[in-house]
This record gives sequence, C-alpha cells and structure tokens, in this order.
Amino acid sequence: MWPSDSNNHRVTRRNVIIFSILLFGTLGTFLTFLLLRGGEQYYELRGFALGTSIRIVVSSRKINPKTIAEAILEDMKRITHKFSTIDERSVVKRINDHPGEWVEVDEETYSLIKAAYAFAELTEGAFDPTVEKLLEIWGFTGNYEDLRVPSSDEIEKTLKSVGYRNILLDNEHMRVMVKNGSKIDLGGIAKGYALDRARQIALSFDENATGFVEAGGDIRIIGPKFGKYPWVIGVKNPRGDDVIDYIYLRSGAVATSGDYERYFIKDGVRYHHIMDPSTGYPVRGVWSVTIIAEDATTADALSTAGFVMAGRDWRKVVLDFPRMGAHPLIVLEGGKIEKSETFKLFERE
Amino acid sequence: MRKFFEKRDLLIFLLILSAFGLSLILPKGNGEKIVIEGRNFRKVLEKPGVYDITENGRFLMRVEFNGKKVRVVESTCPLKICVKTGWVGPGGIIVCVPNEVIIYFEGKMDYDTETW
Repeated sequence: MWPSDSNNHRVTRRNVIIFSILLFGTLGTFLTFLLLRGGEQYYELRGFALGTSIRIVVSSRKINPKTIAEAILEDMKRITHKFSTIDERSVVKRINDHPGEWVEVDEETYSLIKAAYAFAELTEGAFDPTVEKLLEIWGFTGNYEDLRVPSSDEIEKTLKSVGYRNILLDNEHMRVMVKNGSKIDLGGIAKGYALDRARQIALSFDENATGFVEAGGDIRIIGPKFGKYPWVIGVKNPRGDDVIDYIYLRSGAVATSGDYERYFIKDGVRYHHIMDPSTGYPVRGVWSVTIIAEDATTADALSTAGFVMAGRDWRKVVLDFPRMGAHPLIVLEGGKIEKSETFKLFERE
Repeated sequence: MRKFFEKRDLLIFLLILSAFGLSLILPKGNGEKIVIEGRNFRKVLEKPGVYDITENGRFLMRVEFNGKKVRVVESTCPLKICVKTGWVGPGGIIVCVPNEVIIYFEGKMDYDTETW
C-alpha cells in the first residue's frame, strides 16, 4: 500500500480508475501514433525502365522487400528490351524486320500481342498496336530529334500501313506475321503488362506482400497499405502542377494518357504523341484520360483508347467503358471534367 | 512523502498527450527538401536557389528551387519533357528519361502517389 496522509491521495477506487484511464489513454495514443507513423516499414526503390521512371513501394513480413523490389525492376528492364521496337534483343523488332513472314514467338510475346489485338478489336481500332509508322513520320520515335508536322499526302500514305488487322496470329504454332508494311508497337500496353507482372513477382515472393508499383504515372496496387488501408492517388492536373482529384485504391490499377508529356508546338498549335489511327493526326479536344481497372494492362490500353475515343465523343467513353471494367475520368479541352458514375466510387475511402 | 496521485502527475500525462497531439497536427516532414537522383548520384536541395546538375563533370540540367516548388530551367535532353513539366510541388515528380534523372520532394504528402 502507498502511504497517504490526506483523503485526496488515498488509493481509493476513484483514484485508481482515473489513473487507469490516463495510463491506458496515453498508451492508446502512443500506439495510434506509432501506427500512423508506421510508413517506414515500406521499402522504396526508384529506377528507369520502359522508357520512363519506375517507383516500387513494397513491404513484406516474410522476405526482405529490397529483394522483391530489385526482382521487379530487373523484370521491367527485361520487358523493355524484349518488346522494344529498336533493341536488337527485341522479339517485336524480329517480327517487324520480317514483313510477310511467319515468325515463331514464345508464349509471353504471343499472349501480349494477342491481348493488344483484342483491345484493338474491343475499341474498334481506337487502340491500335500498329501506329508505329505514324509516330515515325511525326518524329515521336528515338530521341525525338526530328519532330515535325508531316504533309497530308505523307499521312495518307502512311495510314495505308496502319491497322491492327495487318497483324496475323497463328494460334496453333504460336506464330505472328505483319503485312501491308505494318509494324507492331506494344508501347501502349507493355507498361501495363510489366506492372501486372510486377505484382505477380511480389506475390510469388510473399502472397501477403503489400505496396504499389508505378511506371511513368501508371500504378498497379500490390496490396492495401499496411494490409488494410487504401493507397491515396492524386490525379495530375493536365495544365497545372497540382492534382484535380483523389482516388483510393486497395487493389487494381490506374493509368493516365495525356497530351502534356510528349509534344511540340508549331505555329501556335500543340502536336502531341497520341495519334488517332483513323486520321493520322494527334487527337484533339482532350487533355487527359484516367482509367481505373482491375489490372494495369486494361488500364494502360484503355487509357490510350479512351483518349482517342474521347476526342470523337467523350459520352461514349463515360457510358461504354465501365462495361469493359474500365472507369474513366476525362479532362476535356478547356479543363471541364467528365467521369463515369463508377469512377466516383473510387473517390472515397 | 510521495502521494499516490497528485496534480503534477496529471500534468505529466497532459504533457505527453499534447506532445503526441502536436506532432500529429504539425506538417509531417517539411515537404521542402528536393531529391535529385541520377545514375550514380543523389543530391538533396534544402535551400532555394538555382543549381547546376552534373554527372561525372558533364552538365545535365539546371534546376530552380524557390523553397516551395521546383522546376528544370534547362536540360541537355532532346525533347525537354523535364523542362516542359514546369513547376512541380510536393507530391509531383519531374522525370528526365534520356539523362535518367528523377526530381521529387522528400517528406510525407497528403497522398501516396500521383497518376499522370
């Protein structure tokens, strides 16, 4: 017993209760504080692959997250070489260098080209993996040293070799052929594919790993923050340095296509790198399209397709895309924002 | 003689609680440190100014930090995407692919990442 010389300081039931409340209250606050400040357990790795910057944020209780992050970055570099249009190790280059001939490919390549073809069919050619030659005549290839506005004759001529139906697929022998001078470019889908692979790699190390992977502004969630909370993602203002919206993702992916990254201005007109495969000119009337989907391949391919389609009729994108599992937010020219009702579901925690 | 529960005990509890409270209310990190990462260097900017970024003695780019935002003023890369990105605040990122340079803010933001 504690000695006491007054009634106020006796070990009464009341004093013990007050003391306990204060003790547990302080402990509780301390624990909450620790939990809120617990971000340090995520390992972060930044690097370059897929022609852009990569950020890997991962946590695991089973294995050193550094090992996971490094394996992911390594795989992204492998994908960059394999599906490049210029790298000597590239399968895509091998197909493009043998027009009119069947080229046998491995399962991964075949599946990805088939997926690109399927997205082209699904979007009636708005997403087209054969726009490479168009990008070439505008100068949006290599180091962008020759950016220019081609003549309309040149565009007309080039459009003859654009069209996903110029890709032939032979399921039985896993062979691919390009015809009519077409060239395959998987740039509009490879980033998404690499992000989905990144998640698979993380889960192959630890099925309870959490975090996210980002490639040039496209994001794939590995698992919820601290296994429980959504990741908060800002949507970039296409004409400013702030964000225009916040989304909350515990799973899935998000990708954005915009006109503000790769562009040049000639005679006061902005020409950017997202081409409408039906006209051969950069899409007009849209500043950016953000797509939330279950996987990054879908988000990546459909953000490009959504951008092209929104230039023609944004309502079609808002109404049709949710049925494909893609939830769009569109920033039209002038800054007006349009989004599907399904997109709004991701705007709250 | 030490008493079981005095007023000064309450004061200690209140002090501890307010310390936690304050650290939660105050901005997490100052968000005003800029990290510039290249192939084999990492530079942290804490004071406003214009900085020349070099790699092995080769000039890559000139970066301006005004204390709240950062931008690339000029760069040796061909398309100048990093320059066109303009001013970037906490949470934003500037990427120069040809020079393999990333510029971002250090410290906690009110969101985890950004889609662009």
